[in-house]
Formats: sequence, C-alpha cells, structure tokens
Amino acid sequence: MWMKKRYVLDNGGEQYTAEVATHRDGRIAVKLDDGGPRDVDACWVQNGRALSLRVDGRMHLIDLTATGQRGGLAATVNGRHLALTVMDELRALAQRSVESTVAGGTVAAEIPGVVVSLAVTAGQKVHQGDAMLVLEAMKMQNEITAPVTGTIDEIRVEVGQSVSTGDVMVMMTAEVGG
Amino acid sequence: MSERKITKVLVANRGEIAVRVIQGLREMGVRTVAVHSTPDRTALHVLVADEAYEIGPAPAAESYLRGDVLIATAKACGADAIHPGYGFLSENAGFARQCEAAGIVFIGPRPETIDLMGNKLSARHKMLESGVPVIPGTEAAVRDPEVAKKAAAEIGYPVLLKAAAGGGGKGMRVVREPAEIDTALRQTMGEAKASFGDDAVFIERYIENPKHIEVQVLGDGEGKVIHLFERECSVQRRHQKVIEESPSPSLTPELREAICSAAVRTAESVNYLGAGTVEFILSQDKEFFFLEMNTRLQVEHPITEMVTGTDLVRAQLRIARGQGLPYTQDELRQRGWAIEFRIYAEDPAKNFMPAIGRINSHIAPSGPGVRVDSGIYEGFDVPIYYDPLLAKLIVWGEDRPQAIARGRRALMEYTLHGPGHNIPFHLWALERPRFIAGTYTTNFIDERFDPAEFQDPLPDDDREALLTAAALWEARRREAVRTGDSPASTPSAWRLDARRRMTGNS
Repeated sequence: MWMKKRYVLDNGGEQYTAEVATHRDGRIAVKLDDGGPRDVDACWVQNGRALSLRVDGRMHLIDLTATGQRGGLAATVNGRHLALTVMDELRALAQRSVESTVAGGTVAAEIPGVVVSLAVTAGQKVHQGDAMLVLEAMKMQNEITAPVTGTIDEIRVEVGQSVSTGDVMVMMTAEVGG
Repeated sequence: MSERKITKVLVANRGEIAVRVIQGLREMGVRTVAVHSTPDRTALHVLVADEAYEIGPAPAAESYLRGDVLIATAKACGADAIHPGYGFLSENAGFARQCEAAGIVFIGPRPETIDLMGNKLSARHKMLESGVPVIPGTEAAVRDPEVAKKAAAEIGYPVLLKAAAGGGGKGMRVVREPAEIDTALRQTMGEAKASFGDDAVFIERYIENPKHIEVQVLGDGEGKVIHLFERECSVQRRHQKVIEESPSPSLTPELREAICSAAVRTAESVNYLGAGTVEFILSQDKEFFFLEMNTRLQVEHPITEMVTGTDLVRAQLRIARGQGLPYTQDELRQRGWAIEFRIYAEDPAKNFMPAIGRINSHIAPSGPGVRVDSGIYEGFDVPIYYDPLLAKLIVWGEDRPQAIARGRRALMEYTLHGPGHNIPFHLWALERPRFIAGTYTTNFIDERFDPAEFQDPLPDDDREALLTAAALWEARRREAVRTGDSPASTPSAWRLDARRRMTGNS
C-alpha cells in the first residue's frame, strides 16, 4: 500500500509542492507540483546528512542541515548554497493567512476519508507542524498537523470515523505570537 | 648570528592562522602553546595545541592584545618564543621590544623595522633614500589647506589624502579638484586623530584603477634578503583582499624582475629579519610604486608556498633560530599557478554583511591541488568579537586556466551551512570575463558586483533534486519523531528501503 504525504517547500518566497509516496516494499515516488509521479532512487549517505539521488541515471548529491528554525533547511546542490523552509500544506495555508489563524481556528478535512489514528487529546499543547491525526483518503494516509502553535480545545472525531470535505476535526486556540 | 634554542612556541593569535602556525611548528617537533579569550575555550586553535591558557575576556583589547599577559604566560609555561601570526600584536613594535626584554624570541622583524615601516611617512622617506619608486607626493605631513592646495597642484589631480598612521583603508580620501581640499583635509585629519591618535596626513597622486601587487621576502637580519616572487591581490572589497593569486597575470618577466628587485631593495634597506611583504600599486601604464611593507606573515602566504614549494612558517622559525635563510634565490622558481579564496562569514546577497552563528555543516573540498586552512569545525559558534575569516581555500594548477577550473570545482564541492558566507561570491567572480582575462583591478567588486542579481536562477533539474531531497528529509524527520529514532544515528526506514532496492532484495 502507498503512504502519501504532501509538503510545501518555500525557497526564497517561491512555493512548491512535493508529494512523497512510499510503498511498503520500499519504493519511493515523488511528485513535484503538477508533474507526474517519478520513481526515485534515493540513498541517505554521510551519516544521514546528504541524500544521493539518481534520476534517470543522473546523479545528484544534496547536503542538508536543519537550521534550527522550524522547518528551516540549509542545502547545497551542485555548488549552490540554498535556504528553504519545509512545511505541510496546512502550515503553508496558515502562513498565507496569518491573520485568520491568530485568534485560533479549526482544522477541517480537505478531502473525504477515515480517521485512522489520533495523536493528540483535548487540552494538549502542540507546536506548529506537530502531527495531530492521520486521515486515510483514497488509499492514502495523510498526516494532519497543527497549523499553528497553541492548545487543542476539542477533538470532534474518533478513530474509525468517516469525514467529509469541510468537516471540522479539531478546534484549537493559537498561542499569542505562536 | 648565534643559534637560539626554540623548542616551545606560544602562538599569540586565533582562528585559521593560529591553527596553520601550530601545524607548521608541530611538524618541526616544536611544542605549541595556544592562548585564548574566555569564549574561545572551544575554538579550533585551542583544541589542536599541546598547551593552552586563557588570557582574558572576549574583547581583543582585553585578551589577544594584552602583550603583558601574553609575555607572562609565555614565561610561566616556559615558551622560548612567541609567534604573533597576522593582525593583533604582529606589527606592534612595543610588544616586540617587551618580548626581547623578557628574553623571549619574537618571531618577526626587529622592533625598529616595525616602527619604521608602520609609519607611512618614515617608510616613504626610507624608500626614496633606497631608490624604490614611491607615488609622487608630499614628504611631510600637511596641516595647512593652502599648503595642501599648492602640493596637490604640483602632484596633479586627482590626489589622495592619507593618514600617516593609517591602514586597512581607513583615513583615506580622494580629492578631484582644489575646491574640495579644505573639507577633505579637515575630515581626514579628524579621522586620523580619532582612529590612530595621530592627525598627520600626507598627499599623494591618486592612481586610478590600480592593481595591487605584493612581493614576499625573507631576510636573515644580517644583510641577506631573498624574494619569493609576487602575489596579485586586486580583488578587494572595502580595501580588504578577497581573492589572491600567484603569479600575477599582469606582469611581464621584465616587470616581475623589476618589482621583485625593488622589494629586495626595500627589505635590504632595513636589514630585514624574518618574513615580510612589500606591497606595490601598479598603474594602468604598468608603472609601479611602493605602497607599504607588512612586517609579518600575510593571510595570503599559502599561494606563495604552493607556487614556490616552500613553507613560510618553517622558514620563519629557522630564521628566528638564527639558522639563516633556508633557500638561496637561485633555488626559487614559480611553478604553476595558485589562487586563494578567503571564506568570510559575510553574506554577499546582503551586501557582504557580517554573519555570525553556529557552523552546522563544514564539508571542505579535497583532491588534487586543493588546500584548506580552516579555523572552524562543525558545531563551532562563530563569535562576534573577531575577524570574520572562517577559512581559506587555496588551489594550485599547472597553469592559470587549470587553477581557475580547480577553484571552481573545489568551491562547488564546498558545503558550509550556518552563518552566511561568500562562497557564492567566489563562484561568481570566477565566471567574470575580467577575472578570467586577468585584467581586473581593485575596483572589480565595486564596478561589477550586484548583490541582487549575481546568482543565476537555479537550473530546473537542480531545483527538482533540491525539492525532492527536502521533501524526503521532512518525511524522514517525521518518521524519526514518530518512532523516537534519531535520523542521524540510526539507519532510518528510508535508508533501509533504499538499500534493499539497490541490492535488489525487495
């Protein structure tokens, strides 16, 4: 079975989406923006600090280091030093509309699916990007993460429950300045 | 000269030069003593020394510039000599004298030489005496604007007002017409007084679009002086060198011979002891003039070492021991081409603003003809108190095109994550036609560099590789958080999967 996750990558204000699909048998496929899925041969090397990528026989060696800022990455690709921020779609959405999330908010299902696991409970403090639940939709497991740092007010779903697009799953209050 | 015993040396410096000096001394079987300020306890030079002592708090004035503390430390630990490196106390005659008085060998020239060369006016007088060409200008300090106007008219505009005690680009002003002189003189004198405690200013011809050429010399202090050819250091930003090369692409064999002989004459005129550098300015008409003499080892000394096959720290120690010059002039040749790239913690995209922070990743290049002199390591916090020079990349090639190609290859292999740095600038410079042609001047950066546009957009396949890697990084990080694994220390599921795929066991 394939497990899919989508990320938004911000490189100097330009945002890209990447969908990473992994299969139990070890296959990895990556889809960038609206391109088609591509099987990648990826090996973590140098104690996990660099990724060797082979795409159609072409080799790339990418050095990566976390910057210490949330989602911040420093990368060297083919002699170029680059900075980027990795986030999931909700955080990217949250970033685009900071005002609307300051006061708090709701986390709603973007696609119809089944809640397969819950990682948080009401009253819990979470950081932006922390996993809250996994929603299985179209045979894909999607990790839903906290859009902002704050406190979980209420969880409106249970494991096994089906949700439709727009159904509120979690309500939370953002930490001021968080 | 009688030989002096030197078996233990205190290195009165920090950063890459302290490390390089310690390495050279260790190869000669000399015990090495590092000194450090409080925050430098974990700096690289301290980690690699045989002994290390704390000499004061972070500000250099209270630590690396405390001559009395340095000498007391040397005496207490039984060091025979002090190597000052560059900067700090390396050109401080008072400190050299105190070392002498304390019975400690100062690895450098005699205090009188430092005094004489440290003052631009006295150095200039000496050069005039010795027949070394100097830039046409006044022989004495000028204080009266009327005298200044008369002198400038004789020299010819544009002229440069220059603080006698200045250095590093401070206390200099270009004046293009008589009307500007009054104000410019007042400002330069004020600046000179404030920066150097001496308001003496002199006037000289301003050379437009010059090249900076310097010659490495060694003297035994008994009249014998040899040169190790030239270095060209015209890639400068705010009068600080950024890229240096040897040989210079601007010299013909005749000009090289003339400029190197002038450097030898300069050093001979002061009966020079140790390693020094005579700096010249080369005009567009290929006229050269004495600029100043640096009475110490230079930051860019490695390119001379690469091209001449020498070790200047070893030469310094041998001379300090009274063993004389290690080479004769006839033995020295320039072989191939060397380029040095100074890796500074400063961001070219932000107009070279100094950067600080932790070195998160430092993967230095290697392979044929590559040398890296570094003062950093992964996990080191670059302090705000000192020079932002992190490391130097030096490449050697059989000829200039190969040296440039090798520099490019090595820079592309270089990974440095943490504070912003100027590796992208170096890659930019190597692509410029003026650099490739060797016709660049000291105005190269000011004229050509645009912080907003110096980098081409990332090619599509590189961007795709970057995005793929970043997404896989994030997926792995989340997996590690979920399972409680540390991604760096345990093979993650990702890596295991990848390995299975590669060996075909899926």
